[in-house]
Amino acid sequence: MLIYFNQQPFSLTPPCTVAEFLAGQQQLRPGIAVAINQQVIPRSCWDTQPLNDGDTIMLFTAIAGG
Amino acid sequence: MSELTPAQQLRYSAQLLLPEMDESQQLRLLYSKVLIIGLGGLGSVVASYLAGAGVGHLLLADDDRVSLSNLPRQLLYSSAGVGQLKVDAATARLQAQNPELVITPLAARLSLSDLLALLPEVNLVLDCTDNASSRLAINQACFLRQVPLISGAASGWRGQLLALQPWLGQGCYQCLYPDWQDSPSCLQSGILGPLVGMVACQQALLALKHLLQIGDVSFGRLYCFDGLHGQSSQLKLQQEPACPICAAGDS
Repeated sequence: MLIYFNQQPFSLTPPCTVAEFLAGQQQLRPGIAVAINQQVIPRSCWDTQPLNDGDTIMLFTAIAGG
Repeated sequence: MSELTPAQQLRYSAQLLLPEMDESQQLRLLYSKVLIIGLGGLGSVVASYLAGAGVGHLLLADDDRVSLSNLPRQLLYSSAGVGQLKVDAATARLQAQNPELVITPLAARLSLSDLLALLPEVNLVLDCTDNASSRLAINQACFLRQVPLISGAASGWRGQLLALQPWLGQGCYQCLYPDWQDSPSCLQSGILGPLVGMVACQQALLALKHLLQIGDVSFGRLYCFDGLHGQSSQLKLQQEPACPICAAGDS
């Protein structure tokens, strides 16, 4: 299946959860959030939330500056 | 005060021309009380626009003093003010901009208990702070006191804006970043004045729209902006079922 991660196309073999995908990309670190198709996925759902063909995944990092 | 004075009609004449505005709406702003926490790049721009628009009572909280490296983006301060408490410099400047407002300077870093004591008397909180622990404490206090929160953040080329009414089950700051420890400050990661100004302008616009109850304030949404590539996105928040702040007691 094809997904889009931070606007880049990515080819993946299903099944793949959010947590598996982030671990594969070495992106699992504190202070990050993930949205699929413009909807933030709560952290406790990352282990079970599957990625589906055509999903748009955005990863963003907390910022604190003011 | 049940109607605007001639001087007020003149002062606010441009915003009164908007179809959503009228005298009663302007009076609504004049009767509003807003807490602005942090008077750096975000807070100084936010405070200036809210004072200009006639938000009647501003509480300004910051324990910091003006430094030379603040001046490129913290537009309330001048070179002569270096070393002054930001709340004092800001109060003087805003009071000169709009003498009819009440401005309460709070030269402190507000703790959770300070916030819980203050919040029942304010209509809205604007988080313009520069660190994770303040942001999460403000989030918790706004949840507990059911006061709307508009939180802005800027760092490097990135800006984030989050409007929250977390007691409505739409999620909170803690839901978004449950294991957030801290992030680099502006001095560590760099910042360009207009980037933080853009976030601040959006924050001020949302604040005024919320106080006036007009338009769409997008509570429960995170707005992300990348100033280097000119890209933005809006993401819908979801409550974290395990959130220790806003989901406690739900399950």
